[in-house]
Amino acid sequence: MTPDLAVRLGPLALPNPVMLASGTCGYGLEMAPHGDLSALGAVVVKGLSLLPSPGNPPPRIVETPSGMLNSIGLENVGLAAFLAEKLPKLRRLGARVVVNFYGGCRADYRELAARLDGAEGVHALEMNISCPNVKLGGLQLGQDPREAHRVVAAVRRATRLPLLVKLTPNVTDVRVIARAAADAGADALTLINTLQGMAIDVETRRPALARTVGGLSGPAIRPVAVRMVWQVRQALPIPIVGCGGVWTARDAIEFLLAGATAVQLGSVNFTHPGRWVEVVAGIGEYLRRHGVARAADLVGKLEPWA
Amino acid sequence: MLLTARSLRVLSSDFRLLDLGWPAGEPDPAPGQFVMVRTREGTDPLWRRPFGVHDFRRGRGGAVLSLLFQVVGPTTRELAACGKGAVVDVLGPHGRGFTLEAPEHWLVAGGRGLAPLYYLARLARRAGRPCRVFLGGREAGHVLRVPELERRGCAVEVSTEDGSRGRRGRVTELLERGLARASRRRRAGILVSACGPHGMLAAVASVCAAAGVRARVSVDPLMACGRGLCLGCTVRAGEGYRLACQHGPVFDAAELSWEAP
Repeated sequence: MTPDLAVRLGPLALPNPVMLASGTCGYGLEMAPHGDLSALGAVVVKGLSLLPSPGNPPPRIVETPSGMLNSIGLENVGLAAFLAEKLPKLRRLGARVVVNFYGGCRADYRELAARLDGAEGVHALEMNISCPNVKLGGLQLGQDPREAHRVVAAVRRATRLPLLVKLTPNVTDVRVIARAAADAGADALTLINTLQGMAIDVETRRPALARTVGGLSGPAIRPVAVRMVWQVRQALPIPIVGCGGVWTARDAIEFLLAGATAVQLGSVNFTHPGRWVEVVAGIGEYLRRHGVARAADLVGKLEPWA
Repeated sequence: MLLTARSLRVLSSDFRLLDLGWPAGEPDPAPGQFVMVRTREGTDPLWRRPFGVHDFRRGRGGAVLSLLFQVVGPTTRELAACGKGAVVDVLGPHGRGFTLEAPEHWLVAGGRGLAPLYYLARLARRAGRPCRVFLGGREAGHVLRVPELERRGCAVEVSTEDGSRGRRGRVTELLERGLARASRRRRAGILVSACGPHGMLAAVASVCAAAGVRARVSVDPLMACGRGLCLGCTVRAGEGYRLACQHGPVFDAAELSWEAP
C-alpha cells in the first residue's frame, strides 16, 4: 500500500504535509540545490514588506540549548523585487509558494495582500502578526484579539487566495487569538512563531543580541508548539500548520497527532538543508508501518489516557 | 557530505590540524572559503560550525582538505578526537575568499586566524609572489606552522602578547613597522590579507588605510547556516549590512565599519 500524503489547508491542496517555514529557507530558491522543490508540500518565503527592509543591527543570532535566538528584524528585499526577481524562478522550479508578509499598519497588510492576489505562481498567503523583532505591527497585533480580528478581516477582504495566519505563542491563551483570526476569515493557522527569549554573554555582561530580546526557535520550543496546536485543535475546527522545532519525521508526526494538518520545518534547514526530503519519506514510512491509508487520517488522532 | 579523517596532528596544547579526504568530483575550495562542520547527531549543539579552509591539495591518493582549529567547545573537542577513519559531516565550500592577483602578499594572522591564510600563502608562493607573514598570539603556543611557512619561502615575523616568542606586543605593530619601512612604490604592490579577532582586524584596517595599502580581512561572526538562509552573520558595511557567509567572509577592509561592536 502506498499511503496518500496529500492534505488540504482549507482551499489550499498540498501533495504532502511538509512545508518550509518562513525566514529559514530564503526565497525558496536557495533550497533548490538540496532537493526537488516540486516534491515539497510548499515553501513559505521570507516575510515580505512593501518596501525593502535592512533588518536589525548585529549581533542578530545566538545559539541556546537545542535552540537559537534571533533578532533578524524581518530583513527582506521588498514586494517589488520579490515579484520581479524571485517569483518567476520559483515558478519554473515547480514549487508551491506561500508568501509570508507583514506590515507596519492595517493598510500595509491590506495593500500587500491585494498586490499578491494577482501574482502568478502565488498559491497562498501567510500573514505574520507575530514577529517579536520589529517595532511596528507584528507582536502587538498578534496579542490583541480585537486588533488581530480587524487586520485579518481587512486582508480577507483584499484577497481570494488561501489565507494562513501565523500566531505568536507569547500570549496567555493562544485559543483567544486563534478564534479571532478564524472568525475574521483565516483559512488556516500557523502555530507557532518564536517565543520571546534572552541570552547574556557573562564575560562582556552584555545581552547576546544587540536588541537584547529575540525569538527562540528550534527543538527547545517543540513541546510548547505541540501543546498549543493541541489546545487550538480542541477548541476550533480550522486547519492548523504546526511549526516549532521539527527535526525529524517523528517530530512531524507528533504535530499531526496533536492536530496539525501540515508542518513547517524551520531551524533544521540551517543545519540540514535537505532534511525535508527525509521527513516526507519518513511520514510515508510511518503511515505504511501503522497501516494508515492517508496522512489526513492521522490528524488529531491522539489517543487519550483513559 | 561525509568526509573521512586521514590524520590528526597536535600542533600545540590546544591547536590541532585535521586532514580529511575530499570526494572526487567536488570542486576545489578557494583560499578564504569555509566549510560548515557537524560532528554528532542530535540538537545540542544545534548549528554546524564554520571552519576556514586551512589547506587543500590534490595528489595521487585523492584530494585532502585540512582544517586547523583551536579546541574550544564541543565540536572542536570532538574533531580533536577524530582518529584515522572517523567520519565528519561537512557542507561547503561556502563564501567568497581571498584574491591572489597582487604582486606581493602580506598576511596578518592572530592565533587561529592563521587557519584560512596558510592556503593563501602556499598558493601565492606557488605563483611566485613574495609573501610575508606576520603571526601573532597571546603566547608561544598560539604561534603556529612557522617552519612550514618558512619552508615555502615566506618571510615570517612573530609577536606574542606575553613575550614568550618573537617580539612582545601586538602583531599589528609588526605590520605597521614593516609598512613604514617599505617604499611608497613597493606599498602600491602590496595586498594585506588578515584574519583574527575583531580588534586586530580593525587595527589592520586602520594601519593599512594610513599607509595607503589595500587590505582584505576575513571576518568570523556567529553563523547558523553559512548559506544566506538565516541572515544572522551580518557585519556593518557603510550604512548597511553585509552577510559574512555570502558576501564574505573576506571583505575589503575599507568596505566595513570598524566602530566597536
